[in-house]
Amino acid sequence: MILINYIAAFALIALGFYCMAVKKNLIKICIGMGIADYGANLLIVSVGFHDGGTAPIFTIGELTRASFFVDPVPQALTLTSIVIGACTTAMTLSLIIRLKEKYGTLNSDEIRRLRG
Amino acid sequence: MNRKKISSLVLAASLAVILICGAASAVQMALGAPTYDGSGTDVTALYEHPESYDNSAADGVAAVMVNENMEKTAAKNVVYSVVFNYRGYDTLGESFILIGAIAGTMAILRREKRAPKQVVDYAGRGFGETAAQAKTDPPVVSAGAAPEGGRYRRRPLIMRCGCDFLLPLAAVYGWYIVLHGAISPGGGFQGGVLAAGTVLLVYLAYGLTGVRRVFHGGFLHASETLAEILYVFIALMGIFEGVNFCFNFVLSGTEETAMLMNDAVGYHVMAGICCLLILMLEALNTDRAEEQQTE
Repeated sequence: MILINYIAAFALIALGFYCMAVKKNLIKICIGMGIADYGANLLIVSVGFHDGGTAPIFTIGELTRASFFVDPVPQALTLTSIVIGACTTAMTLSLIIRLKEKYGTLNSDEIRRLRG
Repeated sequence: MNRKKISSLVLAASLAVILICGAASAVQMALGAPTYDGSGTDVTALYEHPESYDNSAADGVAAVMVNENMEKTAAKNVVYSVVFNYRGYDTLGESFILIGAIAGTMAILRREKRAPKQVVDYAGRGFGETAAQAKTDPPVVSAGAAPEGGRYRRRPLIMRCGCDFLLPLAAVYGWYIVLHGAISPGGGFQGGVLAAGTVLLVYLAYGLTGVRRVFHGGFLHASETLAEILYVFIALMGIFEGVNFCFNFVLSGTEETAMLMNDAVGYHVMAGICCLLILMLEALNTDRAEEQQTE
């Protein structure tokens, strides 16, 4: 089961890199950054997952003798990763807004050409 | 043409390498053992008698954290104690990343004040505008010219009614996630973002004019700093008890302090994301364009 998670994570990362490298539209490049970011998040969470484990919370009414926890550390790291991803996306989008205002286009080739 | 071909070949080759390496490491990782094998831990005994639990067999940092969690931090949510107690410095830096992102966005989206009308449009509530400026320039009441509909451009009725219905739900749900984070998945970061989503709801229903009237950008920006100071203050409380930064400072060990830091972070994230959204919506500047079109 966990194999699907890993394959999906690497597929997402490759898809994000493909978007960033091939697409000319700046918004699509930003989306590619986001997709690669989510792939990395999925990878980190999957590393700590264990088949049959529950969330590492001591809600004692719902836990039984047989239940056990998954690794809490990757989840905490993912929290950091998500916040950083959101911050970089916000910065990128504001840069794109400025570029669109200045050059009137979102095509990265045309922006480079206008600079000379 | 030839150069383009070579570059696309290189691109295809590198993507193939990423995919092949990814698939190989995926299989490798799936076959290997998980980083933390929790099945050896008796969770119920750990919860009931954390002091007398045998911690000698713990291997790896996660096992130590889970086994010592109840005794040292008294936090029921282990992810929480990792984020706010064990890795408190990390969360502090993370909050500073948010502050840095907002400062950067502000610097990028800052516009020069060309005409006085652009300054007064904020009616004393915008970013970077001093109270003196707001006083000297009388606020332009754009609604005076509009015969009906008040200051707002009329939005569709369904949008307004739907947002009026969803606004309290969104705010309450966001803060429910923040305050309930100690005993359920969720917490400051996630709930803060959900609560900040109310800005978008107000924007959908009442446009940029509504957002400017409801939210005070300067106050939100100051709130960020206040929440950050609050976090550091709560984390530093422990030094009066003779324990480390971010340590659970309540000596009885039955109350957790991660909850307070969680609330501070929730406040911080809510204020920060609200700031970001308002900045971006003002950069889009849709209302002014619409006004010019109708004029």
